[in-house]
This record gives sequence, C-alpha cells and structure tokens, in this order.
Amino acid sequence: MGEPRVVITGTGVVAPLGRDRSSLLDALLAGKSGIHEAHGHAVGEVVGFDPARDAGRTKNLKYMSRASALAVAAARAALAEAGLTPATDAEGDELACFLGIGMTSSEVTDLEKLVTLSRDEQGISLTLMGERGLRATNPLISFKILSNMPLCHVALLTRARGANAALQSLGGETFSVLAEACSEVREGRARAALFGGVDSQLDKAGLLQLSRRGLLGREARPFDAAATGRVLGEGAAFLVLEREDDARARGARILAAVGGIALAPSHRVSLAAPGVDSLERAIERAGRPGSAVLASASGDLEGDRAEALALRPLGVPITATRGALGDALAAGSAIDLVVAVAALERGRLPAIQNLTRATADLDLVREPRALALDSILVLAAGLSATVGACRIERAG
Amino acid sequence: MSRRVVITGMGPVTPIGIGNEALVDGLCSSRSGVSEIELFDARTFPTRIAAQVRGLDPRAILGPGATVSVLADRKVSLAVLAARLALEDAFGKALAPEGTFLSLAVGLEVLLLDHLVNEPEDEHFLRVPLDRAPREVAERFSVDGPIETHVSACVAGAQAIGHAFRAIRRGECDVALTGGTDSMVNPMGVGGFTLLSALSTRNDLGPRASRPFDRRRDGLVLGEGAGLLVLEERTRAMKRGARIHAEVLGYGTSLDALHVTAPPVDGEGATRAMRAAHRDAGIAASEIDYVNAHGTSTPQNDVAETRAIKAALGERARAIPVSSTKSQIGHTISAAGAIEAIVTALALERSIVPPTINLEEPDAECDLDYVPGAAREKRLTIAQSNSFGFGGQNAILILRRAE
Repeated sequence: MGEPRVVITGTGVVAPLGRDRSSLLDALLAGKSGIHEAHGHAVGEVVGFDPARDAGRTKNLKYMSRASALAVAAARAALAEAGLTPATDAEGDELACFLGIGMTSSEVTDLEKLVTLSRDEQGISLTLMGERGLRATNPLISFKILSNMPLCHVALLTRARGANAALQSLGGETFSVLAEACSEVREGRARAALFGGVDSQLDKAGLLQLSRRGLLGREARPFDAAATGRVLGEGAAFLVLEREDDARARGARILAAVGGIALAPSHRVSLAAPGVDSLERAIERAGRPGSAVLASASGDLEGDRAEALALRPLGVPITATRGALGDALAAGSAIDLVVAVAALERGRLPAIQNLTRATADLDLVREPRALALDSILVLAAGLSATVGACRIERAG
Repeated sequence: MSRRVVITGMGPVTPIGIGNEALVDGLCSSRSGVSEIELFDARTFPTRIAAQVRGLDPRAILGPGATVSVLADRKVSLAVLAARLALEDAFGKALAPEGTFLSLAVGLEVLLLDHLVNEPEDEHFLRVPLDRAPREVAERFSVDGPIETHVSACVAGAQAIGHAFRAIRRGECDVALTGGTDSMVNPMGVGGFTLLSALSTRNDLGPRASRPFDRRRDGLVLGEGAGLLVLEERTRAMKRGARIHAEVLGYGTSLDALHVTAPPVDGEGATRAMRAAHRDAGIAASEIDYVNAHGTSTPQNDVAETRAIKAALGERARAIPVSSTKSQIGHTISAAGAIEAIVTALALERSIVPPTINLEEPDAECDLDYVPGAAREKRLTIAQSNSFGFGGQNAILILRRAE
C-alpha cells in the first residue's frame, strides 16, 4: 500500500486579478492585466484591499503589516471553503500552519518618528536614539517587523494551533514549505494543514532593492525575446491540505490532489537564473509529466531561458501567470498552485500575456486553451536559492 | 523500522565559548557572557548590556573577498564559523558531503536607520533577503542539497533542526547541516526589544542580569551567536565510524493562537508542543531526564514555562533537573534553539547538567530544580530542549544519549 494521498479541499487567494480562484482564472482567461504603474515602476499590486474589511479583527490592524493582512484574508477564505475553520481549541490543535514569507517587510513610514527624533545634522545619532527616539516610538512596530508575524496573525485569526513553521521564500522555498505541510498531514501529526505563501513589498524600499540589482523590467514578458526583467507583484495564497481518506470520510469536496513535490538547490548562473540541471532534477523527481506546465517564467531573459531548456523535453503545453500578475515571489508560487487547481477544475489554460516572439521552440499557450487536464506541473524558480516542482492532480 | 537520526558534528559559537570543549568549560565554570555592549554606542539606551561573542573577526572568518555589508552582518560570520566547526567535528574537514540539506534559522535583518535617511549606496538596505547567511554557508562548504531559511525568531533554531531531522527520517536526505545564527546586538535590535519592554534594564547587575526563575529577574538579556549541527542518518554514521554526540528522537511544535504580543500565562501551547514532541519521539514523559528550558528571565516566560513543564511531565517534573542556558549566554533569539540543542547534546554526551546561574532566590511560582549556580555530574538518557517565541510559536526537541 502506497502513502496516503494529500488532497486540497480549500483555496484562498488575494492576487492582483482576483480574490478567489474562479475569478482569478476568469481574469487570466480574459487576458486581463493586473499590472500598473507605482513608485516609477510597473507593479502587480492588489488594488482595493482593505485590511479592516478583508482581514477580520480590526483591533489587530495597528500592529499588522500589509503582508499579514493579505495572509489572513487568504487563509480564512481557504478554511471557509474547506469547511475546516476551527470552532474550538481542540479543532485548532489539529490544524497545522506552514507559511512561506517574503523578505522582511516593514513600512518605512512606521519608523519615521524614530528617524526624525534620532537625527542630528550628521545623520542618525545613537545618543539621540536612546534619549528620545526610542521613547517616542510605537512599541508595536516591532511586531510589524518580525518575520514570523504573518504566520502568527494567521494562527490568531483562524485558531490554527497545531504544527507550524515559517520559512523565508523568494519563490521556490514556498514549495519546501508545502512539502513540510504535506508530510505533517500524511504522517498524521495534523488532521489538516493550512499552507500558504505571502509577499508584499511594493513600496519604494522593496522596488529600489530589486531595481538596483537590475532585476526589474518595464513590463512582464514571460518567455519573450524582448523581455526586460520581472515585474514585482504581491499577494497571498493558501491551500487547505488533508489526507484523502480523511477528506472523503467527512464528505469534503476534493478540489485537487498534491502529486509529487521535488526541490533542488538552484545552482544559479546569475541572480535570477537557476541552473538548467537544477530545474531538470526537480522536474524529474516530481514524477511523470502532467498534461501541462505552469512555469514560473517572469520575463527575466536568462531565467526564462533556463526554464525553457529544462521544459523542452516534456512536450506539453506551457503557460505562465507572471505576465499578468507580476512575480509575487514567496506568494507567486502559491498563487500558481491555486491557479492550477482552478485550471484543472475548468479544463482551461490561460494564455501567457505579453508574449510576442518566443525565445524558445516550445508549445507556449498564446490563446486560452480548453483541453482535458489530468495534472499540471507547477514550477517555482526565479530568484530563490531553491527550485521546486509540484504536480497538482485532478480530483477523483 | 523508521530511519534514525544522530548528531555527528556540532559547532557552537557562543559568548561563553567557541567550539564544544570551550562551551563545556564555559557551562561547567558557570561563566556569564554578559557585559557592557561594545558593538555600538549604547550609552543612552535603557539597556546597555548584552552577551557578545568576544574576539569574533569577520575578516579572518570570511576571507579577503567579503563585501563590506557581509562583513558588517555578524550573523554571516557567526554562521560560517559555526558551520566550519560543525563540519570539521563531523568529517574532519570543512566540506559538506554530496546531497547535504541546509536548514538554517536566521535572525532579522540588521536595520540601519542611516539607510532610511540617506539613499543607500550598497545592497545593505532595509530589505536584504535573509538568506545571505545560508548562501554564504552553502557556497563555502559546497552544500548542494536544498536550502531552507527559518524565520520564526525565537523558535527558528529549533524548527530548523526539527525540519532537518524530519527530512532525514523521511529519507529525503542522509546528511543535514542545520542550526541557527543571530546577532541582535545592534541599535535597532536592542531598540526593538526595548520597545517590546522585553529587556532587563539592570545594567548595574551586568553578568548577573540574566537570572531565569529568580524572584528579581526583570527581563531578558540579548545575546548573539550561532550553533550549527551535522545530522546524519544513523546507519550511515555508524558505517563510517563517526562519533555520535547524541540522537535526535523527536520534534514537536504548536501555536498559542491567543495573542500576538503576550504569552499564555498557563503555558498551555507549550505543553501541547511538549506532548507532540514526546509522541513524535515515541517516549513517555516519565522518561525525560533533563529539560533545557527556554528560561528567558522575563517575568512571564519563566512562570508559564514552569507550569507547562509540570503539565506535560506530571510527577516527573519535580524529579528532574531543569536549567536555562540563557542565564549564561543571554537570549540569542534565532540561534537560541540551536545553541541550546548543542548544550543539551553535550549534557547527554558528557553526563553533565548545565546550571542556571544567578538564581539566588527562586520566584515563588518557579518551584522546580533549576540547577542553581553550578553544573552537576549526572548520567542522562533522554533530554528535552524548549523554545518558545514572540507571536506564540512553540518548538520542542527531544534528544537521547548515543547508544
């Protein structure tokens, strides 16, 4: 007897083009773009997100970063769909929570008072910082800055009380988190697991950091010969994971199943391009190729080329979402998993946006395509030190 | 029969000793690593003491090619030094075997306020990815397996080890380099914890300020350091005749999900994590011989932890020693769980019970045997290492004496 299969019984997403997987897929199928201009850069921003309305308990907002709020909104939606929102502490004890989190996010504005009061003609003075800067600063700022806070806020506002971990992710690492969450459920240490990725750093500091390294492009053109770099996105996406037998026993609607997950060190050849052999290794270990691939191609010429080379032998249709959504790094690969679930449900693949002249001879999806899909291989590469491949299989 | 996981290499870099022998010496001589902050000018800060790693020379550790920002980030040199020590301890050379999985806990990025004021000129900015330390370690020691960077602050070190342990047990890899590194002894690190009212302000007490379970404790003392371990599948280690420091038997975690800024007074979440770890290890609570406590020296933690230990261990809690290494090295945040796992392994291997120093008059609600003042000799078979964190995460490791 093989290992019990892990299935997905709920999804939650907050992405530039949608707040649930169906509307997100619809927008992608309709060829909409979630990218606009901010701080002098093209960004894939979640517009109109209101933490007070969308993330629940408002009294926590004063020490909740935007990333935390995005994560809470997506996590609650996923649990609601699965029908597994814990009603008691005992139910919460059986719910694990694993999260891939983007780079440390703190809004510069939070620290304005500290900076102003700690400053003299020469710049920041530690003497002044100790004398008055610290005293005038909101103590809750530290809670906004700590990297594990999105996980803690999700736990607090969903009552997840079980096994947990928070890993830093630039994309691929989010699949490490998924692998851990799956094993927690498979090995029976948790009845169900909330797994997710969250990223939000579309402000001056976040953009400056990437643009200074030459990583940002004017528009996102996955697999396109005229690609100029990635567009930074943001968002959050969660899956609710359970063992198939558990899900069936409670009569849950099974949306999809998690097939193989494989990870490999990226052995990068440049900041944004993993080694082709790393990608090949991950793809091979994730098991048989599915009916289609959701690539993580973002519009980085070198990175996309590596992915194209690794994917060529598979001979299946390849699509990508980052032309429309930007690259939401830690959240991006989780958002793609949710898109894959929706695509499997509906039997439709969205087109790659902004693709005019392809860099590689592949079956790239240029128009939305209807086809029978058994499984979709989702890739997570890009800037991360780990590349991941995960096969999402159709339910049933 | 599931695969077993053993510790074959340890590299502690702590304020009371670098390397296993120096650390054992530090523990047994009841030394404190706490002194006045020398790493920056803290004269006007409410807290002016911390436990610093003396004589750390980033340039010597990282070599001539290191950039200014990497040199300035002590987490990187602490981790590289600890990794070198752990690998040499395990394999006699500083080279990771093929397929080594790297699972590392890394503290918060050094936040330089200057960079909020002036446009930064180099990469060292507000939001540098935290994976700089793991990348440096991976590159320098040819780690070619997957890399995980754990960011759960005070429990990150224990969680990094927990994941490495699980990955080996599941058969995903045979060797892992794992642990944690952190230095919050910088203006925003000390400033941030000051804002949380978490730090002791008893600067006058100096080396006696970190006093877990003592009636007069008033907060934690920040420390810095790194602890890296080589975990190995047991038959692999036996086959190559490796020295086994201890076995990793189990790992358990939980979330308080109660309040982001305050721990539960009854330690209920911590109790659940302990029970999960005991289940995972396949042991009864009555088999635990020693608990290396989280013991932060904050008024809340030490009482809540005492309650949690009593709830999870029952009668056994009163029969065994429980001590806090933070009394000697302060709270090394993301490195704490890893350094303390090393201390726990050394306790098992050397048959010593490390002390809780500065415990002069126990808090009325802290009524266990905290090993006050001085280390003891005692043969231990199974030990538990506790880690709890801001935000309500709890992580427990269970180790066993090598067979």
